Amino acid sequence: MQTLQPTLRLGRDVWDRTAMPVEEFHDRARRLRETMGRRGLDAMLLYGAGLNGCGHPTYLSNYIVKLPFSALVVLPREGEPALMFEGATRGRAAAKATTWIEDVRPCWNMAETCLAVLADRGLMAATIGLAGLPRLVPYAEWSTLAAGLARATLVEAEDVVDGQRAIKSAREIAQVQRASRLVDQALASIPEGYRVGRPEGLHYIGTESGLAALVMREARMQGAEDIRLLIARPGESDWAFRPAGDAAFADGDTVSVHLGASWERYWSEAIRTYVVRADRLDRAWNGELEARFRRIAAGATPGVSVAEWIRAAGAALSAAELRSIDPYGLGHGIGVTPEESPVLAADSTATIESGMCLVVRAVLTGDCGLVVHSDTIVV
Amino acid sequence: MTSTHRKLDEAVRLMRERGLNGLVIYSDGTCNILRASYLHYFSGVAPMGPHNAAVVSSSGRVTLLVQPVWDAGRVRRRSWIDDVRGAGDFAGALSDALRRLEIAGTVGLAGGGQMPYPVHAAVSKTVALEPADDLIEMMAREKSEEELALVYRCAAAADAGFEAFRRAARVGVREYEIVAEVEHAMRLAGADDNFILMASGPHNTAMRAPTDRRVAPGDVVIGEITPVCDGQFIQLCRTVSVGKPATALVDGYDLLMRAYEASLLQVRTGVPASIIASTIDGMLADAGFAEYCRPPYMRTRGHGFGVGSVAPGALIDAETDQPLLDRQVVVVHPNQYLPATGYLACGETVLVTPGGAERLAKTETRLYVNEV
Repeated sequence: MQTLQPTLRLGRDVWDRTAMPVEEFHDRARRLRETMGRRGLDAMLLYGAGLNGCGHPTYLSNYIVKLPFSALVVLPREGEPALMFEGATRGRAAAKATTWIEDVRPCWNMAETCLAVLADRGLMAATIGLAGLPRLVPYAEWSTLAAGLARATLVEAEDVVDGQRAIKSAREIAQVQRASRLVDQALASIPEGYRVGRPEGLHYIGTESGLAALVMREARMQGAEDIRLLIARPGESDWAFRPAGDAAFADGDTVSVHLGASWERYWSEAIRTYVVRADRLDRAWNGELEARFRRIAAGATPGVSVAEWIRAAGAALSAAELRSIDPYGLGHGIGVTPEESPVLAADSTATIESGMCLVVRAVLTGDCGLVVHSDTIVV
Repeated sequence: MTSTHRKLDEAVRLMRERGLNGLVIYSDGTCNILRASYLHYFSGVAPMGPHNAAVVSSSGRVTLLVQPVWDAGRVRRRSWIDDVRGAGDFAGALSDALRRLEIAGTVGLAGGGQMPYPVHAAVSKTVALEPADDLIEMMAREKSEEELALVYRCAAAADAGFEAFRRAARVGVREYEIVAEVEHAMRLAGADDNFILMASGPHNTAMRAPTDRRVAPGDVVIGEITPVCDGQFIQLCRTVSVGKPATALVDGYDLLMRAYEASLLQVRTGVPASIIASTIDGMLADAGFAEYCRPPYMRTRGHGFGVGSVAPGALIDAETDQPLLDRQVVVVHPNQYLPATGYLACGETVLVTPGGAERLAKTETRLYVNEV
C-alpha cells in the first residue's frame, strides 16, 4: 500500500551473512544471466529510486539506499557486476560492507557513472536489458544515458527481474517470515500498551500519533530496518488510510492500523482493526472473521491464476466489503520492497506460484462494523 | 479552482515576471533532507504516492494532482488548494490539467529533478517545460509565522529526543534500541518524521545507521538528532561519554565547543554563510588540526534545512558566499574526527536574526557523561 515515506531509513542496519550468504546473491546473478542468455542480452541495468523503489538493485546487491536516492547495478552476462549509488564517496566503505559486489561507485551523476562502467566493460555497443529504466529515471539522467548509448541496443527487460523476484528462495522466505513475526509483535503491543501504560508516562497512546509512536517503537526494538504505518477509521463515512494525526480516540471508535516493516531488507505487512473501549483497545476480530479471511487467503495456491483468485475472493465478499477494499486492492507481492509483483488485480495475467510471498487484504463486516485486515502469506 | 493564498499570489507574480504561462510543481512523494519537496512547501501537504503535482496558471488557477487516488480526501482537507484530484494515470491527468487551465507554451517546472523521463516526455508533448526550482526557492526564503511555529515544535521534539538519547546511551543497550527510544520520544513530542544517525564505540569514525552493537564502558556515543514537523527540520548533534571521559576527550570536545561558540557569535542576518565554516576551521587550525578540516575527517560545518534555506542539507564551507537571511534556520556543527578521540558530534540549530543567532533547542550543547 502506498504510504508516506520517511526522510531516512533509520532502523537497524545489519547484513547477517548466515541468513543471507554471498552464495544466495551469486545464485541470483547466475539465474538472471541464464535468462539474459536466452534473451540475447549482453548486460542488464537494474535501476531503482527512493526508499520504496530500489528493489531491483537491492535484490541483486543487498545494498539499500538510506536516503531517498537512486541505485543501479550493471550486470554483464560475463564479467564482474558494478554497483552505483547516489551519494558522496565517503559512503563507499559503508556500502561495501553491505554488498558482495566489489566494484562500488558512489556518484552524483548516475548516467555518466553508468556510461563509464559500461565503457570499462566494453559494453557501449551491446544489447542491454533495462529494469526500472526509463520508468523511474529522472528526465535529464535518462537523456544523458540514452544519448551515451546511441550505439547500444536497449531492450525493456524488467519482467526478467520482476519474475525472478516474485518467486522467493528459502532464505528469502525465512526473512519475510522473520519480518512477519516482527510486524505481528509490534501490532500485538497495541492492546497491551494501551491498557497497561508505562510508569514513565511515555507510552500513553490516547491519540493516533501516540499509537503510531508506540507501534513504531516496538517494531524498532524488534530490529525493524524500516517502517510504514497508516491509520484508518472505518467507522467514518468517508474513511481512508492516512498518516496518524493528532486526533484522540473516543469510546467505541474503530481504528485500523496498517503496519509494514522490514527485517534485513525483507518486508512484511499486516492490518489489524481495534475498537476503543474506555481504557483499552480490543481487537475487532473473532473466529468467524478469521475463518472468512483464511478461506480467501487459502485460495492463493500454486497454479491458480491471479484473475481466478480475484474472482473467488470477490465472491467471498459482500458488495459493500468489496467496495471498501477496492481503492487499496486485494493485495500484491512483497519482498525487498513493500509492494512488488504480482499485483493481485482482475486484469493480471500472472499465475500464483509456489514461493511467492503475498499480501492479502480484505474488508469484512464484524460486530462493530467494517474490519480491515491483511496478512503476508507464503504460497 | 478558486483558491486564494499568498503562495499562489507570489507564484503568479514570479511566473509573470519570468514570462511563464504556467507552473508545474512536481513531487515523487519522497521527503529528502538534502532536496526539500517544493510541492510539500507550496501545497502545505506531504504527498504520498509516486507522482504528484500542483499545476498553476498565470491567471491564478490551480489544480493539485495526487497519488494514490484514495489519498485525495486527506490532501483536500489539509491543503489550501481547493481543486484536488486523485490521478490514476498521472501523465494523462497532468496533460488534462494543463488543457483545463488553458496553459500552453512555456511552463516552469519545479521539482523537475525528481520527474521520471516517461512523465516528462508525455507532458513535453503538450507544453515546453523549463526549470523553475528557483521560483519556489525565492518564495520560501523567509519563513512564515506558521513555519516558525513548526520549527519551534521541532525544537521541543529535539530536546525530548536528546533526553531519550542520553538516557538510553548506557552499557548493554544496542545501538538500534537507542534509535528506537529517540524516535519514540520525538514522535510523542510532535515530530511526524525523524532523521537520526549515530555511532557508538571507543573511537568512532563517522555517524551512520544503527547496528546490533551494544554500548560498552568507555564508549563515546554520538548522535545527529533531527525531528521533522510537517516539512520543517531542526538538528542537535550530541556526544555522550559512557563512563568518565578521558582527558583527550574532554580537551577535544572543549576545542569543538569553543569553535562552535565562536562561530555562533558570527551568525546574524546579512553575513556570508561561509563565516560559519571559516571561523570553525580557523580555530581548529590554530589548535593544530588544519589537516583534519576536510573530508573524511569532517563533512560540513553547517547547513540549512528545507526549501528556501541556505545549502539545504548540503554543506556550508569557506566558499559559501550566500548571505544568511533573516529567519533562516541553520545548523552550526563542528562535527569532527580528532585523532585522539575519534569522531565527535557537537552543535545545534539556530534561527538567524539581525541581532544574532537565536538558539532553538533548550538542551545545552556540551559533553555529556553517563556514569557506568
